[in-house]
Amino acid sequence: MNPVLRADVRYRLGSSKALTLHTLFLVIIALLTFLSLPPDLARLDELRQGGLVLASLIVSAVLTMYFTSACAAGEIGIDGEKSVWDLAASSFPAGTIALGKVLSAASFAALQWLLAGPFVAVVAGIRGESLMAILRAALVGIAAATAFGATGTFYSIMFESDFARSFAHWTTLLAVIVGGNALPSPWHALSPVRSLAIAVREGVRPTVWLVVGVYLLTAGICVGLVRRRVERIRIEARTT
Amino acid sequence: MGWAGWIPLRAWLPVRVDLQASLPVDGEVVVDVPVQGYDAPLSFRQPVRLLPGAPQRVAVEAFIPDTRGVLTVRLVASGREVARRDVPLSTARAVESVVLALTHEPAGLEFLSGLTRKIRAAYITEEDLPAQWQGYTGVRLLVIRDFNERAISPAQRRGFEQWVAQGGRLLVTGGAPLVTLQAPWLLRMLPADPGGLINVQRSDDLSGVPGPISVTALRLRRGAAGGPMGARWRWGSGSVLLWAFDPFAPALRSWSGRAAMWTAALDAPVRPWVAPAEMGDALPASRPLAGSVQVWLLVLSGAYILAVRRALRRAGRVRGGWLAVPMVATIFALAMYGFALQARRAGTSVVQVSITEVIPGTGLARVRTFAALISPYGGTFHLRAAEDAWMQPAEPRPLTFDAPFAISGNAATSGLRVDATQVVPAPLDGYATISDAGLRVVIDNRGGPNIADARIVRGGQIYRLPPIGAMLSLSLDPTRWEPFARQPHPPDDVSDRFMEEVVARLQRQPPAPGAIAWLVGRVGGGHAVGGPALQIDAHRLVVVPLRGALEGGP
Repeated sequence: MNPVLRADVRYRLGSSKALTLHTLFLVIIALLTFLSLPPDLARLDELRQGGLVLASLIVSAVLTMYFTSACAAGEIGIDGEKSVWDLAASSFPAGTIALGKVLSAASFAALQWLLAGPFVAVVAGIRGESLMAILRAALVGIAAATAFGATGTFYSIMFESDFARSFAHWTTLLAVIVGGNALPSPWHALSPVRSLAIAVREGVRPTVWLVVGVYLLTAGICVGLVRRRVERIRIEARTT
Repeated sequence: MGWAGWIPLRAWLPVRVDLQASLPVDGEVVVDVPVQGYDAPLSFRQPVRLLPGAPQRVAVEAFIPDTRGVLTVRLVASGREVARRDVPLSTARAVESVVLALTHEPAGLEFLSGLTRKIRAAYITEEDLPAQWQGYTGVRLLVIRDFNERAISPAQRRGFEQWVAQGGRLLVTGGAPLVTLQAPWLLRMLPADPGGLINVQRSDDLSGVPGPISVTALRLRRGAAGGPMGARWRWGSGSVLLWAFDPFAPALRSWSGRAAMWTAALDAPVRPWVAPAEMGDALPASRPLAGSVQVWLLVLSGAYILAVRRALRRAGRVRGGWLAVPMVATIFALAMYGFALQARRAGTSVVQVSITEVIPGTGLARVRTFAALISPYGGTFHLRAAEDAWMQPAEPRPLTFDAPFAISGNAATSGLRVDATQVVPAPLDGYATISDAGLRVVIDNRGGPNIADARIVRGGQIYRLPPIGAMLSLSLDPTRWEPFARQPHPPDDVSDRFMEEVVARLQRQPPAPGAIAWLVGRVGGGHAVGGPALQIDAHRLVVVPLRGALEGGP
């Protein structure tokens, strides 16, 4: 097993900061679930049946994307977890570090989707929706969060300044989620919110597979970029 | 479409579709009616099987809530649209009601367009008569001049009789066609026995008509009112009028007094329904999620967060401890999903109230059922009533009718209310006599279910009766009458709420002719039926006009 992944998963599961983060995430999702329960809420025209399940899934997806990328970019520091900069100074091969960091982003995203599952299941159950809708949403949500996590990992080693890193991180989030949604059809499906809605409402259509493929390809490209950057850092360290 | 193209809004009417195919088609005809404010239509479906080259006419029963937009008729086979025809609707064709005239001479009612009310005439043949009485809902008056009994089916005859009994207006015209009328069941409904033809030079009832005119001699029956030129009586809750003359004869078509004569026929008094459609507003439209459900969900959520924190903490310390995290999440996901399904089931229910109104002397009752599908969390639904109970939603919305008694669609989160009407056999009748000692009532309920919480309503007062079994004969104690007053807030119990509505309405409306008092009671008691998908609260009230014991006529 990738040693970077193993260490990151341990800290992201059980460290006190990770516990606080997971608890905060669950409390937000639980609050949203309770707010969606009163029958009168569904009487608003814009919240037609099924709309609340989708809304709940979108909120889970956006929170997961943010937490995954923020942890990867170092915006949220997990105690005990080593950054890419620290690992660059270690004896691990650059590829192992890059792959391990991106895989730990993917496992973090999967963990958050797993944790949100019971609350989304409540909303789905009370609205008479199938649990399969949650699994379809998870496919898109985890892939998108992995891509954001991989991008965050790249930014963490790309920008030394905290401000520049946070700026790039937030710009990417807004550009993909909000900007992607504003693109004309069929490009708007690149927005994770839009593709998640398609997956929930219409099933896993070819468009959804294509978008998931684009997200995974992005993660793969980030693995390559991080690896090259780690190698360059090591070369620069040797020459100075 | 409709009656000669006239469309009484929101009344059941026939949409006739002529089909011919070059290949065999096993599919369905779908009539899509536009609904204002919605993109999706109101659809009426009817299965059809076409043979190559054989033309076929299909009549789809539909109602049109609004004449703006385009009505679409589609032939669908194996989910594929085979043919389609768009029919633009026009507000000019929307009418209040129609006068159906069964006559070989399709002329003579043109003056109706001069009335202030938008009532129009449609000349029909026997095959156009509806097979269910609800098919007459947009009909103000049915005029029979030329009638061939052999041209109608038993279902059409039953529908005809039930429609008149439940409150329809029937006019049978005189002259030569009446003399040759061969239908004994129709003759039985007439207020006079028709004799032979006689020539009348001048009649006070028809002053100004150039004579002589050929009229049918009439012998009034017991309980009927009228004279030599016409007779009338009540038939159940409806009205039957018999004219000795033929209003379609040339001499009467141009008669100046014809409008007044027809207006009187159009306004012949019939007994209105005690339970009008507006009464359904008393049904609940939503049901709040029980507090206990919310508390349990809160407890489950708290337990989950604590359990997952414990599992996460352990995952970081113990080898293989991470396995506890998906295990806890999966167990809680299944438990909370199951709990949510139960909460959904508890929140989804049907509340229905049937008001059975006995039609005295006919052995029949007209029943209006108000049903509210309370579905705060949405979902699809299928609602099927008895085949003779035709349903309509209280507010037009996109639904699919597989028949007038079978609706399906997406449940509105704001609730869906439907009203169903039917005529049923009712082995229940009641009589009342007034003497110096007070009121005496006799309730004959042999063969019917027990009536609970029974009360006599008369002149703004109520008198509570003991439970009624097969028979009740009672002299009412004059000191036990109570004044009726509505409660400041509607009662919580649905059955009590409707009981109050019914009594308030009986108090408001003028006393029914021939009825001395009313009996109102509960049948069967409110009961909850737990189904696999939802809960049904059903309530039944019965209303009986108590006639004078010696009253004659039907």
